Amino acid sequence: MIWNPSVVLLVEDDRLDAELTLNAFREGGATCRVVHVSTGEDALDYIHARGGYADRATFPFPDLMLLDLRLPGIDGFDVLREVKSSPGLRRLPVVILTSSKEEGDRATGYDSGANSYLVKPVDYAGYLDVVARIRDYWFGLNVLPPAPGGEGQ
Amino acid sequence: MKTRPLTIRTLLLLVVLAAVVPLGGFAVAGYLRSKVLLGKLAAAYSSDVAATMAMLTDGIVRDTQDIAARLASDPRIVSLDPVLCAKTLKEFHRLEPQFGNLVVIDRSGKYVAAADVTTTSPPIWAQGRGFFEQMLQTTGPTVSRAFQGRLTGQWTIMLGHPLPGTPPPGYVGITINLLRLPEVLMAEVLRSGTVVTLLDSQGTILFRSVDGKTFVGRRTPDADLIRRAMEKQSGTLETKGLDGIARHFGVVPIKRLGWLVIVGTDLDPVLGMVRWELLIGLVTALLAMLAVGGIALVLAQRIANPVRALARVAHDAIVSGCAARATLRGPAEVRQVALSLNTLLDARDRLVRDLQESEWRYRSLVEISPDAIFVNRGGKVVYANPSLVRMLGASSDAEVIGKTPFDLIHPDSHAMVRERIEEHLLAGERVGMVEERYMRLDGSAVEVEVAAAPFQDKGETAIFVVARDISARKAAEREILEAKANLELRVADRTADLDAFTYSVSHDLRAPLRGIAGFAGILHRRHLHELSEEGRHFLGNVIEAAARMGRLIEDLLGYSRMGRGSIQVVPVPLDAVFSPLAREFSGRIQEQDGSLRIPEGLPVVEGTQTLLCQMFANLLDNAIRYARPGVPPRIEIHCRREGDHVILSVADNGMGIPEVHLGRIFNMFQRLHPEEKISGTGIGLPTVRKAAALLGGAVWVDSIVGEGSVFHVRLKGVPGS
Repeated sequence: MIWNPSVVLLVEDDRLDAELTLNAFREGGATCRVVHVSTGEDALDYIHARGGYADRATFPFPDLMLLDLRLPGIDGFDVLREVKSSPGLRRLPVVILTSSKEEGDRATGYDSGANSYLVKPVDYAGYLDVVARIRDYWFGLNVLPPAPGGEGQ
Repeated sequence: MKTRPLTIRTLLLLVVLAAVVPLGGFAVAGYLRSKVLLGKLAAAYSSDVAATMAMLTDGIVRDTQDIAARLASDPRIVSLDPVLCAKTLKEFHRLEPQFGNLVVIDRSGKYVAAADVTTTSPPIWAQGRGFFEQMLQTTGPTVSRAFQGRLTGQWTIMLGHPLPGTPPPGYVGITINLLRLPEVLMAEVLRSGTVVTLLDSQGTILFRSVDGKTFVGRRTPDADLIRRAMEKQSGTLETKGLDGIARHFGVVPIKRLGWLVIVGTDLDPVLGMVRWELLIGLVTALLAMLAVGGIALVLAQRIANPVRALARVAHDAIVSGCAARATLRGPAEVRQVALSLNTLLDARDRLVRDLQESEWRYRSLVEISPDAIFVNRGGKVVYANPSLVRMLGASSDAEVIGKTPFDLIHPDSHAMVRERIEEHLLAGERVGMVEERYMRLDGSAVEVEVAAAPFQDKGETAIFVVARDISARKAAEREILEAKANLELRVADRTADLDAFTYSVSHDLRAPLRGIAGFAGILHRRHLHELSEEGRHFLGNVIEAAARMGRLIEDLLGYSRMGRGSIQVVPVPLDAVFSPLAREFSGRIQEQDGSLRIPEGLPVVEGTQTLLCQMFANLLDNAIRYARPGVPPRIEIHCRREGDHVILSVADNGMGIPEVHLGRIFNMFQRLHPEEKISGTGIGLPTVRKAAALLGGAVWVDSIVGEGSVFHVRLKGVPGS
């Protein structure tokens, strides 16, 4: 049995935040493969296997999307809505990872179908903790949905 | 009935008349009295004289009858011898010449003898026949009626006496010429004006002392005097005599003969004197009246003239307003009045002048007043000052005067004004400043502030109205309100802006902070061993600084996030706020051996869970943070009610706050201790204040340095909790 590592699509425009997150995942072992895109367009391209991400072999459909809300251009909510309104994509668990604790963002996020809402930690220790918990919950406790038919894989 | 008042002259003349006329009256009365008295005297006198005359007459008749009787018994006569008888009779006649004739008659009526043959006629007198028969039948003396002698034509009476014997053989007769009676009777001199009349039983006049010839022998039964005298037979009469002259008569009868003596006294001569006196009296009275009247007239003039002059001066002074004054003349009382009048006129002139000055003052005041003033009398504007004319956009007061006030007042205000007029002004009350709307001549409205007062104007109630144009003020008020609203909006906007700014800045600051803290953390985790001691120290500093910044940003975010969007207050039980807080802080408190006491049965207040938690979390945090070194923090929560409010107090036994700083600690970023000693962001208390304000409450502090602080929070209570 080829055990495929879980693919996490990290949608984050801030280089530093992304680096911290990637580092945190790396420290946790190789059980997750994190793909990083910095724009909403790239995120959608990846999900739709468009553009530079057409190759599913290289760029497999993610098991989890970590989505920052504030993105230049197409923002996190647009991506979220696109995903959650497409029959072939909506199964994808989307975990919002944002610095905003705002009630409004939370409401919109959940209303738009986000599976979870996390607040970015303030320091590296926090990142380690959050990443470990994400792994533990989403890939440990949580049972992932079956792969969608149609578009995607 | 109105009668014209009498002038002084008339009055005085009336007085004079009243004095003098009685004088005349007395004179006349006196005269009349005299007349009556004299009448009575005259009557009395007449009666006296009549009585005397009666007596005399009776005496004469008796004497004559005695003589006849003596003769009848004289033997010479008894012999009936004609010669003897004649001799005797003649002898007797010589002795008693007063008789007319003495005769002897025999039974058949024939003459026997006569004293005066010439006067006797042949044996039978025509007139004497009856008498003769009568004589023949009696035995006593007889008196005949008056008759006119046939020969002489003179009125005569005969007294007869029979000769002795039954039947008498003859008679003696003595005749008396009536016209000669006066000689017999006029023993006394009668007073002039007195008339004596003798009537026989038939009413024939036997004798009249005056004008005897005319009257003797006549019968005048129709004459008032004769008729009444015959009727009365005795007493007094006042009537005209036979000659037409009025007299006072006395009537006395000679009963024996059946004759009547009437004596009349004419008063005229006497009255003439009295009348003369009366005339003198009346003339005197008249003269007196004239004299006194003349004096009275003069007097009247002396009084009336000055008085009239006074009246004229008064009239002129009041009607024509001229400055004349009364001259002091006339009697003292009139002078007094003139003086008083002058004083009064002077006073009046002063008063008029003062009044005019006062009126001018007030008129000027009203005219120049910048407030509009008008007078409403009888429902019409009777006066309008220039400011009112201007305010209404008229060109002169003629366009305003005559209109009703309601023409000038905007219909919106009509009802209110009507009520004010009817209920207050007409009842005499002043009405204070009230806002109304007036209407200009062109129909546009002008807002005014109005005061009005009623006053009496020639018996009618009129109203003074002062109206101040407040449209500018009103516009300013509206602007201010607008500006205020605007300002509040802008302030809200600004605050919102500020909050938004603070929020976004804080939010955006988080990202780079993550970078700093995050990678410093990675460094610390993975590459610490590669650093020198110094390097490690510096890295520690970086991490600490980042951590502090993180806290600052969180607090700022929390502060700026408060109140974004409207707060929906709900009743929140304070128990539900403090229980989680107590749990949250229990760790830290226990670490320091401290205690937190929260009373039971905390009330319900208006607010939101979030704000209330934030508020008290900050206060509890402070209470722990600022504990005295070495002294375990003891925190107590107190609660009391004040009317509708609830006051929560967080009391600690910490280091306290100096009084001078009590005001500052609620300011943003204001700290009293350096970061190294006690960490803190300086945002905690401002957050508490902002939260309290958002909930309509307040926060304040009491503190004593070295003992502790009590932070009080006033919140709106929910009744019934």
